[in-house]
Amino acid sequence: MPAETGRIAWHVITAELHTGMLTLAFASLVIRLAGVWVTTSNGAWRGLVRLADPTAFLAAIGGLLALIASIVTGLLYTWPVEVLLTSSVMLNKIAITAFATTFWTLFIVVRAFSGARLWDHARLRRLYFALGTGGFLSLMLVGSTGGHLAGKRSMLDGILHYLGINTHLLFTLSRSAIYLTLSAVTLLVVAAAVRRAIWKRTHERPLEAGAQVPAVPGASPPRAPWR
Amino acid sequence: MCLVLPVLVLVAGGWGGAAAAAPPAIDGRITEGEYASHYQARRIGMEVHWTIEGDSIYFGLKVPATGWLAIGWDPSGPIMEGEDIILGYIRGKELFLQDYFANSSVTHANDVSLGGRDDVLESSGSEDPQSTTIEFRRRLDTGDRFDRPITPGSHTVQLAYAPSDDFVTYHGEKRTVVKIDFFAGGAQEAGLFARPRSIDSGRGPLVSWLLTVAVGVVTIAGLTAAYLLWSARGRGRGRG
Repeated sequence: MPAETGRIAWHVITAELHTGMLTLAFASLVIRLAGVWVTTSNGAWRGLVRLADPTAFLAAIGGLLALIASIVTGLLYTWPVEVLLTSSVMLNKIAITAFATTFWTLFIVVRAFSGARLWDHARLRRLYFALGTGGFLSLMLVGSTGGHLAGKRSMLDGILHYLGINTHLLFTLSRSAIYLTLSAVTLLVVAAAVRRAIWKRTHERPLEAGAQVPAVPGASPPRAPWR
Repeated sequence: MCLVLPVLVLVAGGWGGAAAAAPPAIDGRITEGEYASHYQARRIGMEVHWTIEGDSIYFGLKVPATGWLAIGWDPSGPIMEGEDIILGYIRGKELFLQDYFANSSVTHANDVSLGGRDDVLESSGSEDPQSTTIEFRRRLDTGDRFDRPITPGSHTVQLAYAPSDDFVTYHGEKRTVVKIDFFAGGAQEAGLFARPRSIDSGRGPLVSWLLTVAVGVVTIAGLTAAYLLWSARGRGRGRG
């Protein structure tokens, strides 16, 4: 096998690997979420739900590493720089891959910081599921764009056509939309941070005062604001 | 300077022109003086020979490898999109040569599969352990919508080959772009790939694309951060 063909094979392998692992992570996420509401005494279901959370977490870590490896092998081995910088399909694929990487990185970060207790908090559950869903949908789009890049059709073509998405046209936002979005996101983050700071200030004083008071039997401990 | 530049271009490009007495024989061998013009892409070692006779053009292509080889001309861009391509290889002693069209910047499909015609009229090829030679004839203007007519004036011509017959194998560094005037003779290396539209229209699209990607990433991360920072208890609801 020529050396170049061998190097391209690494991209194919890492691409298949991350697709499989991240799909497993999403499927496990769905099962674990279903386990919040579907509670039966069925042992198999309970076992499945119990395993789903660590499976989703570990598969997401493995999938993210394989995704990064796939990005590296794709950029270094598969296409020359002229193609990377000029093909609209390729640029769209890079953009969606960046979004997928962000989703899955945040998915892992949220789970790593929250631990398995995440499933006890509805807000975190919703965020975790939204990140996993965003990661999975962007991953599907990456695969579909990859199919177009290889000159093939994709199973998603019908849906993409219905939604008016053409992966052959370079997707860019206008400058005004870019500045507007950036400003809106910055404002939102600042507003959330300020609100949290105010909440902490108003709630920590009573807590400090409360620390001087003997604990009331049966009282619940103070909770972090985002839980 | 006006005289020196064309001379330099022809010498550097390796172009040679000679009057061919008769139409080349499509026999899979290129002999000295068989074609009216020839060009050797020195960087990749690929030879292109051609003769225009009547309403046809005869091509002879030779590469120092035993995989597929291809010649394409007149991409609309970016890269090879819209290009008329002839791609062939020899397996055993049999020549496989087809008329292709670049249906995207980085992919191609044979004309027949796209609803066009295969317009190679005659072809022949040979292979030895070091090289592959393919000769073919086609009309200057085939009338097929997936072909590009060969007309007087400069054409952007892309040359490529690979070590393997499997033409899904990427050609890697064995590619070049040349400006050739098939009627007048003369060729000039144009660097790798034709200048794509996105570059010709300035750096705007690439900068906008980069900003769009950055905005997407920042939006996902920002919304997540804002969601986490936002106090559920502060709103007086949101159990859990």
